[in-house]
Amino acid sequence: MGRYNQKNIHIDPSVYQHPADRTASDAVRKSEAFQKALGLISRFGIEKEIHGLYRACYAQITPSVSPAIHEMLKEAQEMFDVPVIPDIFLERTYQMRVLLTGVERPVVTVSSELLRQMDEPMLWGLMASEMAAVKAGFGEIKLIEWLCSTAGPLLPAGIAASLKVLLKNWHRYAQYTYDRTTLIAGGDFNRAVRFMLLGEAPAGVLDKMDFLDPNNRYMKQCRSFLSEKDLVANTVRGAGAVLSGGDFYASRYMELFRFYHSDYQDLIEEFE
Amino acid sequence: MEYSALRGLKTEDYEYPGENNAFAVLKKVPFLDQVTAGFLKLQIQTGLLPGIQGDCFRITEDTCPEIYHLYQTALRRLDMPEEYPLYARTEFDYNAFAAGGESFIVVYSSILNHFQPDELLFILGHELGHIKSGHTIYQNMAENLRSLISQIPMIGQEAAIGLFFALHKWYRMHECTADRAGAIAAGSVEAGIRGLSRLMGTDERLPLIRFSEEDILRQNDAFEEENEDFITKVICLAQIAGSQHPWSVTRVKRLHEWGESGGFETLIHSY
Repeated sequence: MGRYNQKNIHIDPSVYQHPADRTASDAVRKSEAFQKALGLISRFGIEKEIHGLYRACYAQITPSVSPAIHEMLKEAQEMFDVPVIPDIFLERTYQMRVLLTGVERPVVTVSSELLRQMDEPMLWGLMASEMAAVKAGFGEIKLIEWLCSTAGPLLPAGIAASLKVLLKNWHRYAQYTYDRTTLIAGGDFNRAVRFMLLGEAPAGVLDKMDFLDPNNRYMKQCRSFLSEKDLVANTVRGAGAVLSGGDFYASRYMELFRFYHSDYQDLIEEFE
Repeated sequence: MEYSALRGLKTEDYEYPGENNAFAVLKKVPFLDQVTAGFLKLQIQTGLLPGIQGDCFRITEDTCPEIYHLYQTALRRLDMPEEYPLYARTEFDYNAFAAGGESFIVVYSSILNHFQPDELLFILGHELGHIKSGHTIYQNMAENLRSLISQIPMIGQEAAIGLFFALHKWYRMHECTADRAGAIAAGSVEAGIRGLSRLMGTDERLPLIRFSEEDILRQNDAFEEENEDFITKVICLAQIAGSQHPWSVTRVKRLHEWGESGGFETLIHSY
Protein backbone atom coordinates (compact mmCIF):
# COMPACT_ATOMS: atom_id res chain seq x y z
CA MET A 1 0.00 0.00 0.00
CA GLY A 2 0.91 3.64 -0.18
CA ARG A 3 4.52 4.03 -1.15
CA TYR A 4 4.49 0.57 -2.53
CA ASN A 5 1.22 0.98 -4.42
CA GLN A 6 1.54 3.49 -7.24
CA LYS A 7 -2.17 3.21 -8.01
CA ASN A 8 -2.79 5.58 -5.11
CA ILE A 9 -1.86 8.75 -6.95
CA HIS A 10 -3.18 12.30 -7.27
CA ILE A 11 -5.44 12.22 -4.24
CA ASP A 12 -7.40 15.40 -3.72
CA PRO A 13 -7.48 17.07 -0.25
CA SER A 14 -11.28 16.72 -0.23
CA VAL A 15 -10.72 12.99 0.15
CA TYR A 16 -8.55 13.16 3.26
CA GLN A 17 -9.22 16.49 4.95
CA HIS A 18 -11.27 15.92 8.07
CA PRO A 19 -14.60 17.84 8.02
CA ALA A 20 -13.81 19.52 11.36
CA ASP A 21 -10.43 20.61 9.99
CA ARG A 22 -12.11 22.01 6.86
CA THR A 23 -14.63 23.98 8.93
CA ALA A 24 -11.91 25.28 11.24
CA SER A 25 -9.54 26.26 8.42
CA ASP A 26 -12.38 28.03 6.56
CA ALA A 27 -13.13 30.00 9.72
CA VAL A 28 -9.47 31.05 10.00
CA ARG A 29 -9.19 32.07 6.34
CA LYS A 30 -12.44 34.05 6.38
CA SER A 31 -11.37 36.17 9.33
CA GLU A 32 -10.31 39.74 8.66
CA ALA A 33 -7.26 39.38 10.92
CA PHE A 34 -5.97 36.48 8.84
CA GLN A 35 -6.22 38.48 5.64
CA LYS A 36 -4.43 41.42 7.28
CA ALA A 37 -1.65 39.15 8.53
CA LEU A 38 -1.28 37.63 5.05
CA GLY A 39 -0.96 41.14 3.66
CA LEU A 40 1.86 41.89 6.10
CA ILE A 41 3.70 38.73 5.17
CA SER A 42 3.54 39.53 1.50
CA ARG A 43 4.39 43.24 1.98
CA PHE A 44 7.49 42.65 4.10
CA GLY A 45 8.68 39.47 2.39
CA ILE A 46 8.52 37.62 5.71
CA GLU A 47 8.43 34.19 4.11
CA LYS A 48 11.83 34.79 2.55
CA GLU A 49 13.23 35.92 5.90
CA ILE A 50 11.95 32.80 7.66
CA HIS A 51 13.57 30.68 4.99
CA GLY A 52 16.86 32.54 5.48
CA LEU A 53 16.72 32.01 9.24
CA TYR A 54 16.25 28.27 8.85
CA ARG A 55 19.11 28.14 6.39
CA ALA A 56 21.37 30.03 8.80
CA CYS A 57 20.64 27.94 11.86
CA TYR A 58 19.47 24.44 10.91
CA ALA A 59 21.17 21.78 8.81
CA GLN A 60 19.34 21.38 5.52
CA ILE A 61 18.49 17.87 4.37
CA THR A 62 19.28 18.24 0.68
CA PRO A 63 19.14 15.43 -1.89
CA SER A 64 22.87 14.82 -1.38
CA VAL A 65 22.43 14.55 2.39
CA SER A 66 19.58 12.08 2.08
CA PRO A 67 18.70 10.73 -1.37
CA ALA A 68 16.23 8.34 0.29
CA ILE A 69 14.18 11.11 1.90
CA HIS A 70 14.06 13.06 -1.36
CA GLU A 71 12.90 9.96 -3.18
CA MET A 72 10.07 9.73 -0.65
CA LEU A 73 9.21 13.39 -1.18
CA LYS A 74 9.00 12.88 -4.94
CA GLU A 75 6.74 9.88 -4.54
CA ALA A 76 4.55 11.79 -2.10
CA GLN A 77 4.47 14.72 -4.51
CA GLU A 78 2.90 12.45 -7.10
CA MET A 79 0.61 10.75 -4.65
CA PHE A 80 -0.88 13.97 -3.31
CA ASP A 81 -0.41 16.04 -6.47
CA VAL A 82 1.71 18.69 -4.73
CA PRO A 83 3.09 21.53 -6.90
CA VAL A 84 6.28 22.14 -4.90
CA ILE A 85 8.59 20.03 -2.73
CA PRO A 86 9.40 21.88 0.51
CA ASP A 87 12.92 22.40 1.79
CA ILE A 88 13.56 20.06 4.71
CA PHE A 89 15.60 21.18 7.71
CA LEU A 90 16.82 19.33 10.76
CA GLU A 91 15.99 20.96 14.07
CA ARG A 92 18.25 19.95 16.92
CA THR A 93 15.99 19.16 19.82
CA TYR A 94 15.10 16.24 22.06
CA GLN A 95 11.43 16.99 21.50
CA MET A 96 9.61 15.04 18.82
CA ARG A 97 8.07 17.56 16.48
CA VAL A 98 7.68 18.64 12.91
CA LEU A 99 6.69 22.05 11.58
CA LEU A 100 5.52 23.13 8.14
CA THR A 101 5.52 26.82 7.22
CA GLY A 102 5.27 28.80 4.03
CA VAL A 103 3.39 28.91 0.78
CA GLU A 104 5.70 29.98 -2.03
CA ARG A 105 8.75 28.35 -0.48
CA PRO A 106 7.38 25.90 2.04
CA VAL A 107 9.77 24.67 4.71
CA VAL A 108 9.46 21.58 6.88
CA THR A 109 11.61 21.35 9.99
CA VAL A 110 11.87 17.91 11.55
CA SER A 111 13.36 17.45 14.98
CA SER A 112 16.41 15.24 15.34
CA GLU A 113 14.73 13.20 18.07
CA LEU A 114 11.70 12.45 15.90
CA LEU A 115 13.95 11.29 13.08
CA ARG A 116 15.92 9.15 15.47
CA GLN A 117 12.82 7.39 16.77
CA MET A 118 11.31 6.57 13.39
CA ASP A 119 11.88 3.57 11.17
CA GLU A 120 11.83 3.95 7.39
CA PRO A 121 8.11 3.26 6.86
CA MET A 122 7.28 5.82 9.55
CA LEU A 123 9.57 8.34 7.89
CA TRP A 124 7.69 7.78 4.66
CA GLY A 125 4.39 8.36 6.50
CA LEU A 126 5.75 11.59 7.95
CA MET A 127 7.07 12.96 4.66
CA ALA A 128 3.90 11.99 2.80
CA SER A 129 1.61 13.55 5.40
CA GLU A 130 3.62 16.79 5.29
CA MET A 131 3.34 16.83 1.50
CA ALA A 132 -0.43 16.32 1.78
CA ALA A 133 -0.47 19.21 4.26
CA VAL A 134 1.35 21.42 1.75
CA LYS A 135 -1.33 20.57 -0.83
CA ALA A 136 -4.14 21.24 1.66
CA GLY A 137 -2.75 24.74 2.29
CA PHE A 138 -1.63 24.17 5.89
CA GLY A 139 1.62 26.04 5.21
CA GLU A 140 -0.28 29.31 4.83
CA ILE A 141 -2.13 28.96 8.12
CA LYS A 142 1.01 27.81 9.90
CA LEU A 143 2.87 30.80 8.53
CA ILE A 144 0.33 33.07 10.21
CA GLU A 145 0.52 30.93 13.35
CA TRP A 146 4.30 31.41 13.36
CA LEU A 147 3.93 35.16 12.83
CA CYS A 148 1.45 35.50 15.71
CA SER A 149 3.57 33.43 18.10
CA THR A 150 6.89 35.12 17.35
CA ALA A 151 5.87 38.68 16.57
CA GLY A 152 2.35 38.89 18.03
CA PRO A 153 2.92 42.05 20.14
CA LEU A 154 4.46 43.86 17.15
CA LEU A 155 1.49 43.22 14.86
CA PRO A 156 -1.24 45.85 14.39
CA ALA A 157 -3.74 45.82 17.23
CA GLY A 158 -6.04 42.85 17.52
CA ILE A 159 -4.56 40.58 14.83
CA ALA A 160 -2.84 38.07 17.10
CA ALA A 161 -5.55 38.19 19.76
CA SER A 162 -8.44 37.63 17.38
CA LEU A 163 -6.68 34.79 15.61
CA LYS A 164 -5.53 33.00 18.75
CA VAL A 165 -8.60 30.85 19.41
CA LEU A 166 -9.34 30.28 15.72
CA LEU A 167 -5.80 29.03 15.12
CA LYS A 168 -5.76 26.77 18.15
CA ASN A 169 -9.09 25.32 17.12
CA TRP A 170 -7.77 24.64 13.62
CA HIS A 171 -4.55 23.18 14.96
CA ARG A 172 -6.54 20.72 17.03
CA TYR A 173 -8.53 19.39 14.08
CA ALA A 174 -5.68 19.53 11.56
CA GLN A 175 -4.19 16.63 13.49
CA TYR A 176 -7.08 14.43 12.33
CA THR A 177 -6.13 15.20 8.75
CA TYR A 178 -2.47 14.42 9.41
CA ASP A 179 -3.47 11.07 10.93
CA ARG A 180 -5.56 10.25 7.88
CA THR A 181 -2.81 11.06 5.38
CA THR A 182 -0.30 8.99 7.34
CA LEU A 183 -2.68 6.07 7.06
CA ILE A 184 -3.35 6.65 3.36
CA ALA A 185 0.36 6.93 2.58
CA GLY A 186 1.45 3.89 4.56
CA GLY A 187 -1.66 1.79 4.13
CA ASP A 188 -1.16 0.19 7.52
CA PHE A 189 -3.51 1.13 10.33
CA ASN A 190 -1.32 -0.25 13.11
CA ARG A 191 1.69 1.65 11.86
CA ALA A 192 -0.31 4.88 11.58
CA VAL A 193 -1.41 4.54 15.22
CA ARG A 194 2.09 3.66 16.37
CA PHE A 195 3.34 6.79 14.63
CA MET A 196 0.64 8.85 16.35
CA LEU A 197 1.63 7.44 19.74
CA LEU A 198 5.38 7.49 19.13
CA GLY A 199 7.19 8.24 22.35
CA GLU A 200 4.01 7.96 24.41
CA ALA A 201 4.51 4.38 25.56
CA PRO A 202 7.48 2.35 26.78
CA ALA A 203 9.66 1.02 23.97
CA GLY A 204 8.32 -2.12 22.33
CA VAL A 205 4.83 -1.95 23.84
CA LEU A 206 3.14 -0.42 20.80
CA ASP A 207 4.65 -2.99 18.43
CA LYS A 208 2.85 -5.79 20.24
CA MET A 209 -0.61 -4.25 20.03
CA ASP A 210 -3.22 -4.80 17.35
CA PHE A 211 -5.02 -1.46 17.19
CA LEU A 212 -7.57 -2.78 14.70
CA ASP A 213 -8.85 -5.23 17.27
CA PRO A 214 -11.90 -3.48 18.79
CA ASN A 215 -11.16 -5.19 22.10
CA ASN A 216 -7.55 -4.12 22.43
CA ARG A 217 -6.59 -2.56 25.75
CA TYR A 218 -5.91 0.88 24.37
CA MET A 219 -9.30 0.97 22.65
CA LYS A 220 -10.91 0.14 25.98
CA GLN A 221 -9.00 2.93 27.68
CA CYS A 222 -10.02 5.41 24.98
CA ARG A 223 -13.66 4.38 25.07
CA SER A 224 -13.73 4.72 28.82
CA PHE A 225 -12.14 8.16 28.62
CA LEU A 226 -14.49 9.39 25.89
CA SER A 227 -17.65 8.10 27.55
CA GLU A 228 -17.19 10.33 30.58
CA LYS A 229 -20.61 11.62 31.64
CA ASP A 230 -19.53 14.20 34.19
CA LEU A 231 -20.25 17.68 32.82
CA VAL A 232 -17.46 19.39 34.76
CA ALA A 233 -14.85 16.84 33.70
CA ASN A 234 -15.93 17.12 30.06
CA THR A 235 -15.85 20.92 30.20
CA VAL A 236 -12.34 20.91 31.65
CA ARG A 237 -11.18 18.43 29.00
CA GLY A 238 -12.75 20.42 26.17
CA ALA A 239 -11.20 23.64 27.40
CA GLY A 240 -7.84 21.92 27.73
CA ALA A 241 -8.00 20.66 24.15
CA VAL A 242 -8.94 24.10 22.80
CA LEU A 243 -6.32 25.96 24.83
CA SER A 244 -3.51 23.56 24.03
CA GLY A 245 -4.37 23.41 20.34
CA GLY A 246 -4.12 19.65 20.37
CA ASP A 247 -6.71 16.93 20.78
CA PHE A 248 -6.44 13.90 23.04
CA TYR A 249 -4.83 10.81 21.58
CA ALA A 250 -7.98 8.94 22.57
CA SER A 251 -10.07 11.15 20.28
CA ARG A 252 -7.53 10.96 17.45
CA TYR A 253 -7.33 7.19 17.64
CA MET A 254 -11.10 6.76 17.62
CA GLU A 255 -11.44 9.20 14.72
CA LEU A 256 -8.86 7.31 12.72
CA PHE A 257 -10.53 4.02 13.56
CA ARG A 258 -13.83 5.36 12.25
CA PHE A 259 -12.15 6.70 9.10
CA TYR A 260 -10.45 3.37 8.48
CA HIS A 261 -13.76 1.54 8.56
CA SER A 262 -15.65 4.05 6.42
CA ASP A 263 -14.22 6.52 3.89
CA TYR A 264 -10.81 4.85 3.78
CA GLN A 265 -12.36 1.61 2.51
CA ASP A 266 -14.15 3.55 -0.26
CA LEU A 267 -10.84 5.15 -1.19
CA ILE A 268 -9.11 1.80 -1.41
CA GLU A 269 -11.88 0.40 -3.59
CA GLU A 270 -11.72 3.43 -5.86
CA PHE A 271 -8.03 3.03 -6.51
CA GLU A 272 -8.02 -0.73 -6.86
CA MET B 1 47.83 15.52 12.30
CA GLU B 2 49.43 13.94 15.38
CA TYR B 3 50.55 16.15 18.23
CA SER B 4 50.23 15.90 21.97
CA ALA B 5 51.04 19.36 23.27
CA LEU B 6 51.64 22.82 21.86
CA ARG B 7 54.04 24.18 24.45
CA GLY B 8 53.93 27.95 24.80
CA LEU B 9 50.75 28.32 22.69
CA LYS B 10 49.46 31.89 22.93
CA THR B 11 45.91 33.01 22.23
CA GLU B 12 47.19 35.62 19.77
CA ASP B 13 48.42 32.76 17.60
CA TYR B 14 44.91 31.63 16.73
CA GLU B 15 42.65 34.55 17.63
CA TYR B 16 39.95 35.44 15.15
CA PRO B 17 40.97 38.68 13.36
CA GLY B 18 39.51 41.76 14.98
CA GLU B 19 38.88 40.26 18.39
CA ASN B 20 42.06 41.66 19.88
CA ASN B 21 41.28 45.25 18.82
CA ALA B 22 38.16 45.37 20.95
CA PHE B 23 39.99 43.60 23.74
CA ALA B 24 42.82 46.11 23.73
CA VAL B 25 40.57 49.00 24.79
CA LEU B 26 39.52 47.21 27.95
CA LYS B 27 42.99 45.87 28.61
CA LYS B 28 44.32 49.43 28.75
CA VAL B 29 42.26 50.29 31.83
CA PRO B 30 44.67 49.73 34.74
CA PHE B 31 43.77 46.98 37.23
CA LEU B 32 40.34 46.53 35.61
CA ASP B 33 40.96 42.89 34.79
CA GLN B 34 42.13 42.03 38.32
CA VAL B 35 39.19 43.85 39.89
CA THR B 36 36.70 42.19 37.55
CA ALA B 37 38.23 38.77 38.08
CA GLY B 38 37.91 39.30 41.83
CA PHE B 39 34.26 40.36 41.60
CA LEU B 40 33.46 37.58 39.18
CA LYS B 41 35.05 35.01 41.45
CA LEU B 42 32.92 36.25 44.33
CA GLN B 43 29.82 36.31 42.14
CA ILE B 44 30.39 32.74 40.96
CA GLN B 45 31.35 31.42 44.37
CA THR B 46 28.16 32.74 45.90
CA GLY B 47 25.80 32.32 42.93
CA LEU B 48 26.49 29.80 40.22
CA LEU B 49 29.07 27.50 41.78
CA PRO B 50 27.08 26.06 44.72
CA GLY B 51 24.38 24.92 42.27
CA ILE B 52 26.96 23.32 40.01
CA GLN B 53 28.86 21.65 42.85
CA GLY B 54 25.66 20.50 44.51
CA ASP B 55 23.77 19.23 41.48
CA CYS B 56 26.24 18.37 38.74
CA PHE B 57 28.43 15.32 38.44
CA ARG B 58 32.16 16.06 38.67
CA ILE B 59 34.19 14.30 36.01
CA THR B 60 37.44 12.94 37.38
CA GLU B 61 39.87 10.19 36.50
CA ASP B 62 38.00 7.87 38.87
CA THR B 63 34.44 8.65 37.83
CA CYS B 64 34.76 8.92 34.01
CA PRO B 65 38.30 7.98 32.96
CA GLU B 66 37.66 8.14 29.20
CA ILE B 67 36.16 11.63 29.26
CA TYR B 68 38.75 12.76 31.79
CA HIS B 69 41.58 11.65 29.54
CA LEU B 70 40.04 13.50 26.62
CA TYR B 71 39.89 16.56 28.83
CA GLN B 72 43.57 16.14 29.69
CA THR B 73 44.35 15.92 25.97
CA ALA B 74 42.48 19.17 25.33
CA LEU B 75 44.30 20.91 28.20
CA ARG B 76 47.66 19.67 26.94
CA ARG B 77 47.08 20.62 23.32
CA LEU B 78 46.04 24.11 24.34
CA ASP B 79 48.97 24.35 26.75
CA MET B 80 46.82 24.96 29.79
CA PRO B 81 48.69 23.55 32.80
CA GLU B 82 45.97 24.38 35.30
CA GLU B 83 43.07 21.94 35.48
CA TYR B 84 39.63 23.48 35.83
CA PRO B 85 36.85 21.40 37.39
CA LEU B 86 34.74 19.69 34.72
CA TYR B 87 31.10 18.88 35.44
CA ALA B 88 28.37 16.96 33.62
CA ARG B 89 24.83 18.27 33.80
CA THR B 90 21.84 16.14 32.87
CA GLU B 91 20.24 17.85 29.90
CA PHE B 92 18.73 16.63 26.64
CA ASP B 93 19.93 19.65 24.70
CA TYR B 94 23.46 20.01 23.28
CA ASN B 95 25.30 22.71 25.18
CA ALA B 96 28.33 23.47 27.33
CA PHE B 97 29.62 26.56 29.08
CA ALA B 98 32.63 27.90 30.89
CA ALA B 99 32.62 30.29 33.81
CA GLY B 100 35.44 32.69 34.54
CA GLY B 101 36.89 34.01 37.78
CA GLU B 102 36.63 30.73 39.63
CA SER B 103 36.86 28.87 36.33
CA PHE B 104 35.05 25.64 35.63
CA ILE B 105 33.37 23.94 32.70
CA VAL B 106 29.96 22.33 32.45
CA VAL B 107 29.09 19.97 29.59
CA TYR B 108 25.56 18.69 29.07
CA SER B 109 25.15 14.93 29.37
CA SER B 110 23.67 14.60 25.85
CA ILE B 111 27.00 15.75 24.41
CA LEU B 112 28.95 13.35 26.61
CA ASN B 113 26.67 10.49 25.60
CA HIS B 114 26.37 11.11 21.87
CA PHE B 115 29.45 12.89 20.55
CA GLN B 116 32.42 11.06 19.07
CA PRO B 117 35.72 11.51 20.98
CA ASP B 118 37.15 14.12 18.57
CA GLU B 119 33.83 16.01 18.53
CA LEU B 120 33.88 16.04 22.33
CA LEU B 121 37.48 17.27 22.24
CA PHE B 122 36.24 20.15 20.09
CA ILE B 123 33.58 21.08 22.66
CA LEU B 124 36.04 20.86 25.57
CA GLY B 125 38.64 22.83 23.61
CA HIS B 126 36.05 25.48 22.70
CA GLU B 127 35.20 26.06 26.37
CA LEU B 128 38.86 25.98 27.40
CA GLY B 129 39.51 28.51 24.65
CA HIS B 130 37.04 30.91 26.29
CA ILE B 131 38.93 30.53 29.59
CA LYS B 132 42.39 30.81 28.00
CA SER B 133 41.44 34.02 26.19
CA GLY B 134 39.83 35.47 29.32
CA HIS B 135 36.52 35.91 27.46
CA THR B 136 34.45 35.17 30.52
CA ILE B 137 36.25 37.81 32.59
CA TYR B 138 36.24 40.45 29.88
CA GLN B 139 32.59 39.82 29.02
CA ASN B 140 31.67 40.29 32.65
CA MET B 141 33.79 43.41 32.79
CA ALA B 142 32.13 44.83 29.69
CA GLU B 143 28.65 44.09 30.94
CA ASN B 144 29.39 45.82 34.27
CA LEU B 145 30.73 48.79 32.35
CA ARG B 146 27.59 48.89 30.20
CA SER B 147 25.48 48.77 33.33
CA LEU B 148 27.40 51.72 34.79
CA ILE B 149 27.14 53.74 31.58
CA SER B 150 23.38 53.23 31.44
CA GLN B 151 23.14 55.10 34.78
CA ILE B 152 24.60 58.30 33.30
CA PRO B 153 21.79 60.89 33.12
CA MET B 154 20.45 61.98 29.70
CA ILE B 155 22.71 59.93 27.42
CA GLY B 156 23.30 56.80 29.46
CA GLN B 157 20.51 54.60 28.05
CA GLU B 158 21.30 55.42 24.41
CA ALA B 159 25.03 54.89 24.95
CA ALA B 160 24.34 51.57 26.68
CA ILE B 161 22.26 50.38 23.72
CA GLY B 162 25.08 51.28 21.33
CA LEU B 163 27.55 49.48 23.56
CA PHE B 164 25.26 46.45 23.70
CA PHE B 165 25.45 45.93 19.94
CA ALA B 166 29.19 46.63 19.83
CA LEU B 167 29.81 44.12 22.59
CA HIS B 168 27.69 41.46 20.97
CA LYS B 169 29.65 41.83 17.76
CA TRP B 170 32.74 41.25 19.86
CA TYR B 171 31.19 38.24 21.62
CA ARG B 172 30.50 36.71 18.23
CA MET B 173 34.22 37.06 17.41
CA HIS B 174 34.96 35.28 20.70
CA GLU B 175 33.01 32.29 19.48
CA CYS B 176 35.12 32.07 16.32
CA THR B 177 38.30 32.23 18.40
CA ALA B 178 36.95 29.53 20.72
CA ASP B 179 36.03 27.41 17.68
CA ARG B 180 39.67 27.61 16.59
CA ALA B 181 40.77 26.54 20.07
CA GLY B 182 38.30 23.68 19.79
CA ALA B 183 39.83 22.58 16.49
CA ILE B 184 43.33 22.69 18.03
CA ALA B 185 42.12 20.51 20.90
CA ALA B 186 40.33 18.14 18.51
CA GLY B 187 43.42 17.73 16.37
CA SER B 188 41.98 18.97 13.08
CA VAL B 189 39.74 21.57 11.51
CA GLU B 190 37.62 18.74 10.08
CA ALA B 191 36.89 17.42 13.58
CA GLY B 192 35.97 20.95 14.62
CA ILE B 193 33.56 21.28 11.72
CA ARG B 194 32.02 17.92 12.59
CA GLY B 195 31.57 19.17 16.16
CA LEU B 196 29.88 22.34 14.92
CA SER B 197 27.67 20.32 12.57
CA ARG B 198 26.61 18.14 15.48
CA LEU B 199 25.53 21.29 17.30
CA MET B 200 23.33 22.04 14.28
CA GLY B 201 21.64 18.68 14.70
CA THR B 202 23.54 16.32 12.45
CA ASP B 203 23.75 12.92 14.05
CA GLU B 204 25.17 9.62 12.90
CA ARG B 205 22.28 7.81 14.54
CA LEU B 206 19.74 9.37 12.16
CA PRO B 207 18.56 6.86 9.61
CA LEU B 208 19.08 7.62 5.91
CA ILE B 209 20.81 10.96 6.57
CA ARG B 210 24.52 11.67 6.12
CA PHE B 211 25.89 15.19 6.31
CA SER B 212 29.31 16.13 5.00
CA GLU B 213 31.36 19.26 5.51
CA GLU B 214 30.60 20.22 1.88
CA ASP B 215 26.85 20.02 2.54
CA ILE B 216 27.06 22.60 5.32
CA LEU B 217 29.40 24.84 3.28
CA ARG B 218 27.04 24.68 0.29
CA GLN B 219 24.20 25.64 2.62
CA ASN B 220 26.19 28.65 3.80
CA ASP B 221 26.82 29.69 0.17
CA ALA B 222 23.10 29.46 -0.56
CA PHE B 223 22.36 31.50 2.58
CA GLU B 224 24.81 34.21 1.54
CA GLU B 225 23.58 34.31 -2.07
CA GLU B 226 19.97 34.62 -0.99
CA ASN B 227 20.72 37.43 1.41
CA GLU B 228 22.66 39.64 -0.94
CA ASP B 229 20.07 42.38 -1.36
CA PHE B 230 20.30 45.38 0.94
CA ILE B 231 16.98 44.95 2.79
CA THR B 232 17.64 41.30 3.60
CA LYS B 233 21.14 42.14 4.77
CA VAL B 234 19.71 44.77 7.12
CA ILE B 235 17.08 42.35 8.44
CA CYS B 236 19.73 39.63 8.94
CA LEU B 237 21.96 42.09 10.75
CA ALA B 238 19.07 43.12 12.99
CA GLN B 239 18.39 39.46 13.79
CA ILE B 240 21.97 38.61 14.66
CA ALA B 241 22.87 41.92 16.35
CA GLY B 242 21.63 40.87 19.78
CA SER B 243 23.07 37.36 19.61
CA GLN B 244 26.29 36.22 21.26
CA HIS B 245 26.80 33.52 18.64
CA PRO B 246 27.23 33.92 14.88
CA TRP B 247 24.92 31.99 12.55
CA SER B 248 25.74 28.29 12.71
CA VAL B 249 26.61 28.09 9.01
CA THR B 250 28.84 31.16 9.38
CA ARG B 251 30.81 29.48 12.17
CA VAL B 252 31.40 26.44 9.97
CA LYS B 253 32.51 28.64 7.10
CA ARG B 254 34.92 30.68 9.23
CA LEU B 255 36.54 27.60 10.69
CA HIS B 256 36.77 26.05 7.23
CA GLU B 257 38.40 29.22 5.89
CA TRP B 258 41.00 29.10 8.67
CA GLY B 259 41.84 25.56 7.64
CA GLU B 260 41.88 26.42 3.93
CA SER B 261 44.16 29.42 4.49
CA GLY B 262 46.71 27.13 6.09
CA GLY B 263 46.35 28.92 9.43
CA PHE B 264 45.79 25.73 11.39
CA GLU B 265 48.60 23.79 9.83
CA THR B 266 51.10 26.65 10.12
CA LEU B 267 50.23 27.01 13.79
CA ILE B 268 50.71 23.32 14.54
CA HIS B 269 54.02 23.16 12.67
CA SER B 270 55.32 26.27 14.41
CA TYR B 271 55.14 24.54 17.82
